[in-house]
Amino acid sequence: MFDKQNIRNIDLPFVVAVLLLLVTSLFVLSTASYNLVKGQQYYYVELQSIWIISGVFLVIMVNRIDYQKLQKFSWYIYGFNILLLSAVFIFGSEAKGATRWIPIAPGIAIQPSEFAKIFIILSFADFLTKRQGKLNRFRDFIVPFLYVLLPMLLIFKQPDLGTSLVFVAIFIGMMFIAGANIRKFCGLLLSGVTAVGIALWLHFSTNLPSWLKFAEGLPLPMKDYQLKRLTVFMNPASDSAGDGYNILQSMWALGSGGFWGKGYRQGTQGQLSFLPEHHTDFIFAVFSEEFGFIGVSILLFFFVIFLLRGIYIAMHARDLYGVLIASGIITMISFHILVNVGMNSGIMPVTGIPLPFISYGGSAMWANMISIGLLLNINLRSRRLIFK
Amino acid sequence: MIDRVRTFQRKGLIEMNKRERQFYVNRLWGLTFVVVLIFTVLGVNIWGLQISEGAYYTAMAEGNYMKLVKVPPTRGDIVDKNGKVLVTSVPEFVLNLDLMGLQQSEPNDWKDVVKRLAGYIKPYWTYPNQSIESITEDILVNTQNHQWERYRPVMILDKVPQELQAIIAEHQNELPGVSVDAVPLRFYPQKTLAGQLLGYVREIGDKEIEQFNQNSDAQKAGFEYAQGDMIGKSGVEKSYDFWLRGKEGIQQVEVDNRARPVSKQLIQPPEPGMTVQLTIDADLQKVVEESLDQVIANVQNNTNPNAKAGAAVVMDVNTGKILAMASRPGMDPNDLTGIISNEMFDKYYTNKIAPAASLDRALSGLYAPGSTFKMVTAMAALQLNLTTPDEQIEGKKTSLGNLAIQQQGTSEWGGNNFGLVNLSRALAKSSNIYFQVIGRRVFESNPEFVRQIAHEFGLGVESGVDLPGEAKGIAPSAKWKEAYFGPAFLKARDKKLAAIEADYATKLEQAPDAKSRQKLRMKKDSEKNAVDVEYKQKVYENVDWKVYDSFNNSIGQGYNSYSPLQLANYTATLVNGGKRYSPYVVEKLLNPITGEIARQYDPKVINTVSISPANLDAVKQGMRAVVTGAGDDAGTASGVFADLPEFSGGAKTGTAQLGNVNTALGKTYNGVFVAFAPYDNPQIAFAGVVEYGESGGSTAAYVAKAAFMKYFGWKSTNGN
Repeated sequence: MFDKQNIRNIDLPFVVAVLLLLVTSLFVLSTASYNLVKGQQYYYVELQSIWIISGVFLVIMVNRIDYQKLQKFSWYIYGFNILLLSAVFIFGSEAKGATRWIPIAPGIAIQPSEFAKIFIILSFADFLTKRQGKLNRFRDFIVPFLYVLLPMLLIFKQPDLGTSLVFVAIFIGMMFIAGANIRKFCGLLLSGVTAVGIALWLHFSTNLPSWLKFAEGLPLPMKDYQLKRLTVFMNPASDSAGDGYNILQSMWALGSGGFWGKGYRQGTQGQLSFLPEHHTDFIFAVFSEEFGFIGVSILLFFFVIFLLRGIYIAMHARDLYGVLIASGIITMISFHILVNVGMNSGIMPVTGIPLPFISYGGSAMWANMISIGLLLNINLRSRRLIFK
Repeated sequence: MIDRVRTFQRKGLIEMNKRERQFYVNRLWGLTFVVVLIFTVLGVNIWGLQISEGAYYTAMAEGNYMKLVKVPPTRGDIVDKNGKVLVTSVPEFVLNLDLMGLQQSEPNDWKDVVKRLAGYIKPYWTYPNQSIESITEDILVNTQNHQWERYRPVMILDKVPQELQAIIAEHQNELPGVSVDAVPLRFYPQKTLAGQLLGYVREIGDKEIEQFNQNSDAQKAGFEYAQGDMIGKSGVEKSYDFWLRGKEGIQQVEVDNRARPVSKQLIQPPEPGMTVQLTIDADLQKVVEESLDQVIANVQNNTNPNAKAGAAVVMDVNTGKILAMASRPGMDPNDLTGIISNEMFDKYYTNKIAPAASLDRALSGLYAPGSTFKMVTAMAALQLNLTTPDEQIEGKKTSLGNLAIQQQGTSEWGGNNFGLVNLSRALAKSSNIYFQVIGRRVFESNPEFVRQIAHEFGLGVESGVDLPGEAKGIAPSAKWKEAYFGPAFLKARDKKLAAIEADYATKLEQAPDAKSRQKLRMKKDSEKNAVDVEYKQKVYENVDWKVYDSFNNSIGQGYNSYSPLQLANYTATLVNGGKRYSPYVVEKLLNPITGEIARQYDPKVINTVSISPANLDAVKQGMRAVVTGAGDDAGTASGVFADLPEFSGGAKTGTAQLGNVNTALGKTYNGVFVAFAPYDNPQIAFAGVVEYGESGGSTAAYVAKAAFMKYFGWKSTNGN
């Protein structure tokens, strides 16, 4: 349980930012989803409230145990994570061509990949703590990479490209914080990006010189239509009736919001359903359309406060394990915001990554609340109390 | 406090020293930098979208849900001179498919929707034997052809019966984008009555857009035709399309992403089209058509089974108003408004079953005038003082000249000998000899004069009638013949000469000495000479105007060809004192709501003929002789009107040979007839052609008689 000393440590701006984000979520959902279910304007608002309230209990529960106690169980956490992700393929139900859900009770299903992100942060933090100061050579990067790669591949296989990319981001972020040699690590990343670029180029090229002929149409682990969906954001008008449709509609929604926005429930793009998934992946576009640049600025300001205070917590964590957990979470949430807001505004591919705290979704909300719980846990047990 | 630190150390927890921590804090500052960078990029980009380009995206978003939809106006009615409705618009149920609604149905499911639809409408489909797959294919092709206007539904089926309406309503849920709507449909209550004259309405073709945009009224009003517009394809529907169509209204429709209308607002109401009032008298038209049908049926049953076509025109001689204009086989425009079956296509556009029925033979059909042309020959000769009405010519072939000349001429018809004939008797008996003799005089005096006179009477020139597709015809002359046949021979000669030049150019180059060159040159000249001789021979045979051309032309054979409308106008001009009016079918435009006259079309004189009144009168008298007399003086049509005591007027019969004597067609004749009535102060003129009708006096004349009886209310003493 929290002792008084701990409570005094609590980072108020952080908590306020979280509360504001949660209130914003309910508010935005009340406009984005009010005509989704006939006769039940607040259907999604009510459900989201349930996720939030239960999420608050999760926050409290997470804080009851000192996070440091988890460190011992890292390998169990990692193993459980692998099991959970494998279970998707055995018990999972399919929706929209992907198997992402495990039914846990009639009518209720969870999305293990949402939790897998937390689990990998927890176990990887321990993994890296043990390699403190030993991340200076190229070969030192290999084992950590394989460690993250295994659960990532399981998610990629669902297929859920977006979440697997979150794993890549978490890997990069935590490796960087853990002390990877910057030059070598960046070199590795650059060569990785280059390799992906070359692979894509070979895959799509048809007119290679004879000495490269063998590599023409290089097979990739993704279907062409998936690749097209990922690249269409660079020129959405090229396929305005197909894959580019969502991007264009989202950009029109966002852009038409102007400075002041069209007003609560006055957005035509969202309310007339031109925007797809407008209570989940594209909720940001609905928000931007109705509340304009001023609304967007306020929302992004909440996020910035949240993230910067998160980093502040990391800086004051009691130990490296805490630092790494906190920075893993910050990296994860930043990446979510970057990709989601980016795809809503047409500068990122559409990958189905929700906007943390705002998009509707039970599993995501719970996972985010656990993250909050962990950050608070690290915050409450931060170093400062030692010197007081 | 020290205690606490110890406690931690005892527990074996790794605490960081200050230096260590500083390393991680620095890295965390790196992370901070990345986070700030991310938010800067996102913020700048959103600023760009919402502020810099906000207007653009607002316009795009508005275009998304605010649809300006054209509201079609009601097309104007067409009524006859007495206000009887000939064309109107009636509400009709059509099956529409909205492409947008369909495509948004379920992902990739819309082909199934069309297939289901095809299943339901199969029993009502135009082609009963078509499979569901094939109907599906047709519907998809049809909708794809309409991709240009996403928010206008595409008509799949017209005349949707009630059972099908019920079926569609019942299965509405599985048929997104499908609807049954009431639309104004063109309806022709009198069916075939004046069908070709009225025309029909269909969707505009790509090539027609430009053509219709040439319309001066449309240009003045700033109206532009566009894809998808319904237009008149022929007849009055076409020539008065701009006035009939009315003005489209504009409706602003707010739609959702499935193109379902959320709200509608009429921004600009449609204006109905004008009522077009014709000069046509529907009752007279009916009489003419029925009489024409009867005459054609008689010919078909008694003389020539090929007789299926014909045409007749009744015109007001003092204004150019067309009172009746009929073409057979008849056309029912109702057959051509919706989806056209193969059977209907063959009937209207091909000669497979019968001559194509969509052709307006009165306007666009060209026929040799035969003896009805003889008045032109007479007037030309009189006007040049090459004969007098009293000059008598022996009705024998010897009158034509020596034997060689005689061989180029035509004998009297039926081997008759009419004795000494003056102008009046020549017309009454339709003497070929008389007109060949005086016609030859005209051509030898001025080979262009007959053509000039024909043109003055509207023969071989466009009449300017307010209907699309009028035929111009040919009024021949020596110059015309040269211009028509000459160029081909000239071109052939020049080609041959050039070939010789080219051939010898190389030969001369290769020639070893001056002597052989000299020889070659001589050879070349003789070859060129031969070509020239051959050319001159051909020109003499085919291009030069010959005596037989004069003979043939004088009796309305040869290259003469005119439309029945031109023949009627020629007759009218002849008897109204020499004023050629531009014929017209539309009297006025009426406001459809108030009935007020919006525009009145007045008679228009195109030219006055150069024939003196005395000469006109002499010919007119001759035309009276055609319909009067008895015994030796009986005119060729004297029997036709014998039972009409009130009748007075004039006429001319024609028996136009269809081809050369040596061909199969040479033995077949069209019956041609022109007439006017009454004799003093003539009111109406008639021209009619019955294909394969042999003689005009026994066929087309009876159509004229029926028209006169109807128009003047004359009664037959035979009780017919």
